[in-house]
Amino acid sequence: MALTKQEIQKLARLARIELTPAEEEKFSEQISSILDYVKQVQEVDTAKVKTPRQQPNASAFRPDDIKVFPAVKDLISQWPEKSGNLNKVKSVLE
Amino acid sequence: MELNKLTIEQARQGLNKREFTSREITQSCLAQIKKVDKKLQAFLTVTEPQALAQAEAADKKIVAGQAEALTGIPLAIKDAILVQDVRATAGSKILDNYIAPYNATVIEKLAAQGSVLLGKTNLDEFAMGSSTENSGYFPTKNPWDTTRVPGGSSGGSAVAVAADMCIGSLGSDTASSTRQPASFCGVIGLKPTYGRVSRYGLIAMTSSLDQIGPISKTVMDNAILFQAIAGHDRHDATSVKIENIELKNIARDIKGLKIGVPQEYFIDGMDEEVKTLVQQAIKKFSALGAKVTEVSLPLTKYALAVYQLMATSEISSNLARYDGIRYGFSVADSRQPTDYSLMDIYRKSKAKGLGAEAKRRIILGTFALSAGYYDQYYVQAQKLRVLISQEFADIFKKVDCLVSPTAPSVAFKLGEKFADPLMMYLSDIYTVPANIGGICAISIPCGFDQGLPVGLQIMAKPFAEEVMFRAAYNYEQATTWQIKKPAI
Repeated sequence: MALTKQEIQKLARLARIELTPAEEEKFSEQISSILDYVKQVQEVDTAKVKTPRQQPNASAFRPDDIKVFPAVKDLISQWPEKSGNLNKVKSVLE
Repeated sequence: MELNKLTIEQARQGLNKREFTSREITQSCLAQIKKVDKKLQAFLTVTEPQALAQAEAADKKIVAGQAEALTGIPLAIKDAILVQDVRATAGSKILDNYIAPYNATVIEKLAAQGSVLLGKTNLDEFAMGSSTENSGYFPTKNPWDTTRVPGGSSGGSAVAVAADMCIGSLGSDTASSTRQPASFCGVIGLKPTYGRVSRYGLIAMTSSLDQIGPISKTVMDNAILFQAIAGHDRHDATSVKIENIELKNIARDIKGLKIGVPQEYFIDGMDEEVKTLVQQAIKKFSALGAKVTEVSLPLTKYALAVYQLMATSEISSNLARYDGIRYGFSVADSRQPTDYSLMDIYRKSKAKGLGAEAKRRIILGTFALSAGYYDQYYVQAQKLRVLISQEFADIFKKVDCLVSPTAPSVAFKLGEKFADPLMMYLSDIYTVPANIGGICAISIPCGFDQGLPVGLQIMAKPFAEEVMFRAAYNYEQATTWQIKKPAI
């Protein structure tokens, strides 16, 4: 299956990533060849496999006890833009 | 004596007998890094002052008679694993300025024993790759031939061990990433069973497959490191409460052990010499008293395609966090205000901070999860994963271990597969089924082809690391491949 440059552009918009025209060109070619390879998964009859599962041990539960993260200052110091103790971002609704 | 060349077992003995100090081993490793790492480029960050301070603390612990298995042992850590207050890049320019605010659980465990951490090793960006050429910084070179790749993604950790810049190291493995570089560099690399080792503090790539595993000079060293990092952790809900391994069981013989050789792991197009060496290794297992039979795992050929779909889907989700808002590279900057919108900040921060492989996988994963394609790609891959796990479960009712090559070739040339992602992915063809099946697997040296190391893979059912180590240990004791060192 081939992905056109327009389809790559749409996926890039969905993924919130900016691509150069050269990247769009290259990815359209490379991803099409990868899709040709991975489409073999469709050869296998999986009708009897009911629900896709997680790894068998996934999602163990534990009590929801609160522990305070000790290095909050180190998290705040990494924000690119801040105002006091607040993470400053551009307006979400324009 | 060149202390940097010691194994963990040898270093432990010498430290306990006070033949040398941890400070001396640490200095010897740091000297080796200074001597050879300009050429090999295994390290992204060397933490010399911290390492020397840790060594001195370890020496005090040893004098006080409180030495544990890894007290005073200098180790190197893949730069996808967080060490508090040390830069953690995951090989990506988007995390160039990121300082880890906490320790990964595996680092807490090593620190509790008093290990020495020498620094952070190079990897393919976010562990995506099989050659370490996708690093946002520089490619690492293979110590056996510096025109060749060390494998990946834990290429830096494998090279640091192979070139004696450390005594042991940690990597992580999602499709091949401890085993294939171990194979290419002539050392030992483990992918533990999914759930054995906590991933808290491992920068996520494909969360349903990622596992942290040791890379070492000997099988026993690998088991010692594994024993130290394994165990349940409240910070990782997928980690499992299960008994740890016992080292004394690993040294037991393998008379009567049932070993299966899956025919699907000897395909057309693989190196003939690799095939021959692996077949010789299989004969060695028979000579050691194991019962070897040929077995078949017909779904093996789908594992890489299943991996591609699962990995890219999870990557498109996991990498969404690098959006220029909370940490890492951002086009937003308090000192230089711009008129960028929120959307611009997301799109431009990722565009500048991420490399080609990361972008390609994000786009492919976004496609695999998108409306209209989700069922035929992502859901189908998940269902096939169930069938592949089942196929392993069925075969492990008949045999204790499976033996195969680790990779279809020896280390390839730098640049040889870089331009063609699919060619690169195919070098994971023998290692990726273990991740899809959630089983454990190890790569150990089994010979040389044109002077380059060849790896043998031993796989066992989930949580059967002990029997897997036992098979590996017995083979290693009966051979001498690990004695040969690269001339750097």
